[in-house]
Amino acid sequence: MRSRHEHDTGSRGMAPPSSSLGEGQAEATLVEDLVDGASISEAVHALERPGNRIRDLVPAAVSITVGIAISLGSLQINARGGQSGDFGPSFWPQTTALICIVAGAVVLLQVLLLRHRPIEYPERMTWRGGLNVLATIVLLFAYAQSFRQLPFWTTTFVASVVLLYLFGIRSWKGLLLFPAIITAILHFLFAVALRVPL
Amino acid sequence: MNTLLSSPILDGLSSVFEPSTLLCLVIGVLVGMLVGVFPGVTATMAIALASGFTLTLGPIQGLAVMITIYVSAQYGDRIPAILVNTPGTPSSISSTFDGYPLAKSGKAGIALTSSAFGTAVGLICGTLVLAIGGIPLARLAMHFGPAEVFGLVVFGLTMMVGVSTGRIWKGVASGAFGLFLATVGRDPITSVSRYTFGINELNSGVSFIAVIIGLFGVAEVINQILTYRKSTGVAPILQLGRWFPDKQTMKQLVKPVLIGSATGSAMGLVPAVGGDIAGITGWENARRASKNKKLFGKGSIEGLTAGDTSSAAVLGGSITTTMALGVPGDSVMAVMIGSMLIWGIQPGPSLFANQPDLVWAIVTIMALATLITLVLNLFRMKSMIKLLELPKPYLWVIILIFCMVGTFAIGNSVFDVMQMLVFGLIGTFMIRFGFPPGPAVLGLVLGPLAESNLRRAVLIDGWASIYTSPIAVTLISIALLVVLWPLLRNAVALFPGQRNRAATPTGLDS
Amino acid sequence: MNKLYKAGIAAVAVMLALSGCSSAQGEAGGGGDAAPEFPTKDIRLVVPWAPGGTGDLTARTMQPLLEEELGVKVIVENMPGANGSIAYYWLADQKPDGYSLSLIGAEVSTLQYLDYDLQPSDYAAVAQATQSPGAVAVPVDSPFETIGDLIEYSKENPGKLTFGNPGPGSIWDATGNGLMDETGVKWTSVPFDGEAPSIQAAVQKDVDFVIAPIATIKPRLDEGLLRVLATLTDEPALDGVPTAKQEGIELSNASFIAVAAPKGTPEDVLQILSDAIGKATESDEFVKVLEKQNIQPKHRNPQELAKFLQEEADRYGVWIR
Repeated sequence: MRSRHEHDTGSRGMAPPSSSLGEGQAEATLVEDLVDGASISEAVHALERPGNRIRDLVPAAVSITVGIAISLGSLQINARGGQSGDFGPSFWPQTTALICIVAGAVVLLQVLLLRHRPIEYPERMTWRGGLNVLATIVLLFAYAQSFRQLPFWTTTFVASVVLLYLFGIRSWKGLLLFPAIITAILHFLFAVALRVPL
Repeated sequence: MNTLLSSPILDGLSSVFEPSTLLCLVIGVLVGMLVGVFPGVTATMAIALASGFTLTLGPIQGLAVMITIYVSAQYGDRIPAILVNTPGTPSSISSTFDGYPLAKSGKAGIALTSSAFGTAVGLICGTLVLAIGGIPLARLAMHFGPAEVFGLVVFGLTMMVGVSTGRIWKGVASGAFGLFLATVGRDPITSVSRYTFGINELNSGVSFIAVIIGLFGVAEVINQILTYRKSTGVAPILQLGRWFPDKQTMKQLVKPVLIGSATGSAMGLVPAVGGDIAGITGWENARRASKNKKLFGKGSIEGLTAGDTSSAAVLGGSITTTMALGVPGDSVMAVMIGSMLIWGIQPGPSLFANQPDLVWAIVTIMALATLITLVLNLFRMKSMIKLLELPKPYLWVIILIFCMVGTFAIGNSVFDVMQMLVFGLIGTFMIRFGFPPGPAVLGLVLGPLAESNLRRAVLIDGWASIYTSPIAVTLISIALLVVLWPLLRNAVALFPGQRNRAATPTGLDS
Repeated sequence: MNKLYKAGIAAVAVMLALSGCSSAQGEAGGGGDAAPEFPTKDIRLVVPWAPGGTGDLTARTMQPLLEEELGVKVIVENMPGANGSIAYYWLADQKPDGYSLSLIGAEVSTLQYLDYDLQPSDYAAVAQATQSPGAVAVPVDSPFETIGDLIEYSKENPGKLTFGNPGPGSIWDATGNGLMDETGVKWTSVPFDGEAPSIQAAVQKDVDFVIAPIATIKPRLDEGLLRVLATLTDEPALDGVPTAKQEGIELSNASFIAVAAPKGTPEDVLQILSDAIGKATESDEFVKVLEKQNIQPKHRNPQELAKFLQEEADRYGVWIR
């Protein structure tokens, strides 16, 4: 872990163009690889570590779980009328459940059996990023609930100010002027031009 | 009109080249560009809203406004797809596959121009279909009943493999998830509710627009926030690269543009198939035919252009089906039929015979709209790209807030916005664990067509409806061949003496 | 010149609408005579269907006419989804003051049989605006010349004939069941996604016949692609085509568009609204728009409509299964 971080710091600002998110992966963090993968350049080393194998199992496990859940859910579908039979409303969902489970099983076998797994790892997440996402989601859910309940321009303004502050904007121009412009554009476009009652 | 110039072509042309109609055309172009750029606001919605205003106009003026919005939105929606991975309307889903990777690698300029040129060519090809082949082609579409459409959709589902960009089995899982999402709501044949969990809104199924904005746009933003590092707080000003494709690139683009035009024009004729499906199909067809298959999905200019050409070429085919059969070719045309009836235009086989001048007027409107919008777009794009120079936090706030309000505006529904956020989270999970989102969207689009047409076909004549239809049997055989071919080829390659042949990777990579 | 002038006006209108300056119609229209205190503010008219299409167009055609009659602004808003139930549930929760209205269709009577908790008695009926009666049509080269032929063949071959309809649980699917009950035969229902696809399926001979509104069948009839065996009307509606009743099948049916308010809305308010809607639906502008779509204006006042909705509900209870 540590040694790779040093390696990272060394390559600051030289993120390979193929890096999936192009942000540069400079800052050293304490995030465990179990939580997340390494950058593409490190993937080759990461493959050998047992910790990562657990992470690789997640997609397979999720596919199989979703498949089973769909299948169980299809039992709840009650057929109506005489048109049910074998080919009724639950036929198609059960088919998709089966595909999900089979695909998950193949991914599982690949992880367990194949030595070289050509998996592309996304850029590592940061603690701050994780917390920001959490806060953003909570805020956006609250903002969505405010539609129709509170005046649109107030909530939009407040929501953008809070989001910008969260993302590290501190200048008054960015915090006040920019949200004002966004709110004005949205108000004009939707409330005025498209006549959507907001 | 002048009696000397009584040919329908001239009548059609002259009815468009009137100041009043041209004014309507300009209004349509401006509205369409705005609509396209804005995620959530679809061409369907804008045209539905416009139908309220245009009822007082004459048919030619009214059609000018509506068709131009439709055409112009086709350019606009590519811009957010390429620059911020958010399809402006469903037609530009395929633009995100290669457009966004291109923009990230500093080639936003050439991506936008190639996309605009491809779109223009596609639109013109579609228009030619309408102008030349209208009636005979619409007749052909009449052979597509439930069994045949099912065959076509099965063929379409094989595209999941290509859209998975190398992660085949995760792609299949993602596609199955999309197919499952499509079953939420009321069963198309018996109307029982499925997976609605007692939530009334889910009776109409998951909101398609909310899903695509969530999976593509919001998920990308969440992932960027997740991996945000303070030291790189200000986004580097992206290189735009060159603007206009050089001679070599032009040559390289000929094939994808041709493939896209052919795919889109043909798919537009099939009722209910819109630009979203056609774009993905065009992209996949170009991938199969390309020498640089591996680049597709990672920033291939061929893939971007083919997809955009194809989804634009749908317009002509769609209008042809609508006008010649009276069956809406896609959701936009479904809305336009309502207005046409009010103007006394009765779409159907007799329209081409009774009002050929009207058909030519529509052709002229489409051609004019295509050219005007192309020129405006080429001029405007440099200012659109300024968006990318904003520091990331501002860009995130714009995308998140605009997507939320846009999604709300679809049906005045907070529930749709919630869905969009949930699919944003699901999409983030998919990005982080290597599930490609393309197959999920494909499953969501094709799932309802596949299920309802299969079950309709079986209701009509049991399984015989499918195996006695030559069209359905052919399409399903091709689909099987497409899926099995790489496996067969690999099997052949295992024989001694064949080993030196480069074996293409098959389903064994995750 | 005239065209240019018209387009100019329209363009200005679009601009005005786009910039939100389209002000209320003033007081010129004159409100109701009975209770001049209603309406005094904007009225919200919800459309339970997506923009575009017959229902939406009806609302948007009615909007300026109602504004003229009532002297206040009428705001039309689409609230589509879940067979219209999203709008209907919304309406049931609104204040019963006459300022929140919704268009309704036959679903208000039928949705209770499709697992929705929703009945006509949850609403105050205001007025009916239009009706669109149905018909039974076959491909033009079908062996069946009369509805009698069709029934006779079906009696010998139960379940063999297929009929297309615009959707499962739709009133035309239900009408198929009603016809089967009435004549004692059995058909296979093949639901499609909307009226146009179901009619196209009959044109392409994917199904043996189709039950759908005359309004959408008529164009294909005029083009000689379909033949109508019987209209489901009380009086003959198409030249040379008998009604089902004339052929001995006691059944008529029509889809309709009406306006409803939340339960508990004062009766004098309902009456003012009903009168205004009645005047709007009688106006030339409205009739002209409907005629082009082959739909008929049809007025029912609050009492008649309430009774009608309940009768429809009773009838569909037997037919939807």
